[in-house]
Amino acid sequence: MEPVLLAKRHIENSTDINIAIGEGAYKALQKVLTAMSPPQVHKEVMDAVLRGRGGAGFPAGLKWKFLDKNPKRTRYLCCNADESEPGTFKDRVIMETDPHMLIEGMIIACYAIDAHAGYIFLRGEYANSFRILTKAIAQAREHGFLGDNVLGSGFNVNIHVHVGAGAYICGEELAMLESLGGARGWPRLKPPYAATRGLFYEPTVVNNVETLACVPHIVLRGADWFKGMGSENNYGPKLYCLSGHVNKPGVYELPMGTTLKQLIDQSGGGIPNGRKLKAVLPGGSSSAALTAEEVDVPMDFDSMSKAGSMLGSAGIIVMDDSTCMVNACWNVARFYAHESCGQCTPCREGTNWVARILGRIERGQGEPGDIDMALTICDNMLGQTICALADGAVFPIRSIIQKFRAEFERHVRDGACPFGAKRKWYSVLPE
Amino acid sequence: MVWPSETEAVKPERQELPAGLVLQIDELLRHYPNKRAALIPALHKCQDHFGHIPGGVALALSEHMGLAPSCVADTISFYSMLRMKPVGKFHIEVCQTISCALRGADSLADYLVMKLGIGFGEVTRDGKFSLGKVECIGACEQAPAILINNELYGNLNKERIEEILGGLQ
Repeated sequence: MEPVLLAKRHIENSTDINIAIGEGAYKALQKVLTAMSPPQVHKEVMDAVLRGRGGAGFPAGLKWKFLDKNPKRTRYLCCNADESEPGTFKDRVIMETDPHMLIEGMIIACYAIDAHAGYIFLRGEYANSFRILTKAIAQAREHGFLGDNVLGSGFNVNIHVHVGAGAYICGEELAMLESLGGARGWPRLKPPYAATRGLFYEPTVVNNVETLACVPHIVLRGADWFKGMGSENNYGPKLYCLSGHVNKPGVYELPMGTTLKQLIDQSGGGIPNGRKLKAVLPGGSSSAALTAEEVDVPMDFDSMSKAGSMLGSAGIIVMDDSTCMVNACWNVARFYAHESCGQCTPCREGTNWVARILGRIERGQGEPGDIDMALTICDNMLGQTICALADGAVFPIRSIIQKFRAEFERHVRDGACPFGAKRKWYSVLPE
Repeated sequence: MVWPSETEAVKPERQELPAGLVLQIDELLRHYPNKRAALIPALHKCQDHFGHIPGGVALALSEHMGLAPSCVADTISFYSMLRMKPVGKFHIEVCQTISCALRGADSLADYLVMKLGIGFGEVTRDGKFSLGKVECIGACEQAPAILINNELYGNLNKERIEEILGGLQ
């Protein structure tokens, strides 16, 4: 397929506005401001069934529709560029190769929802993206795409880049809005949703970078073009991130619904060193693991949830047969224990307990009841918390334990890791 | 997350904010409808200037922004990038999350510990290097990856690390 979101990836200086315009940037914006009303833009996005690329797959058009339209309130657009899901780096690639596509998408989205300010919540670790985005925004302002009276249309809009300070939880919609307000990133209890009480307690739409990047293309080429890719209710181009044990890790743009097997074998060039596939975390580390037998499944929202996992952020983490699954499981558990915001007891305590139990098993100090205890703790976390972080910890941990239980039992029985792991250095938990 | 007990002493000596820094902070305020929203970017500016956020600077910042000192301390304590303790001139953070771990982050970390002669959370005696661990930095295709003063270095092996460390002056 012809690249859409990564079309400018191999063009030199593609982040410069003049080169971007030469490649077609801001054409959609001109079309919108001269020939379309906000409801028309909204309808086009609605018709395209553009599902959120951040992980949940909620249709962007519906999110816009639920927004409080009270003319007395200030509306905000917030772009989620906090991309902290392990195994995910697609948004970084968009921002670093085609920032103007994101900015154009944001301006059009602001126009559609009648917002005059947009914030890009960028994770603090993306220093290079920050430099590129600030420069691109300044250039867009010079060209009259941002500021007062955009291209003489009478529409005013500003975009600001807000730099986060390192917290996975800030990728959660309402935690992000709290963090943007200067507070700790604690998710809020829902409802009220961001659509009525979001940023600075005003109505807010939060969309992922990749979602917003699709908007100019939908507006320019129409909903039917967008629906020409993918399968029913899972339309459009999709960025897949491949990492771990593959020959060619990287971001690949393919139609929604490309199979996981195809992605690993063809795009990723297979498993290195003649090894065999053992397991995959298909949608970032918060998704349930799939075994080598389960990878012949289309990577779209509905097929993945039918397969017992999720598309999530499409961060595909591949593990070959040299991987100790107890170690991998511990690594994932440790991540969530570190990133739990501490607000809800089941998550704050549960993630830490599970991480400690798994660490103990990995070091050969596991006791016979430990595996079941870890599973019980998982059951007591699932669905018991304000946000989905605990669920995101449970899915991979529980699925890895269930699918590779023999390996865990062997660790306990032998009192050692059969893979000879010595990895002491990254235990962050006091033991 | 970091517990408050790990942050600095209760009542530090107030430290004057340099005029240049105040200008930068005031520029940030233009982007937000209220002052508190500019707190995290302002803390970033302070950290860029001092290398960390000394308690006295946090106190001065709270006064300058019209926020309670406890509100500033609360925010600093939550975020892993904001630190109240000094680090080396070159602060090296090794990604320990799964994609990097699968591609040898552990041996990279071992090598750095051996090479620099310090453990994680420590600073070399000459103050030049410090080591830290970091969670997924979104560079999984370049695993194993590290951040040095928040700049990304990926596709690392011993030779490349030697080369990078040698180039840091």
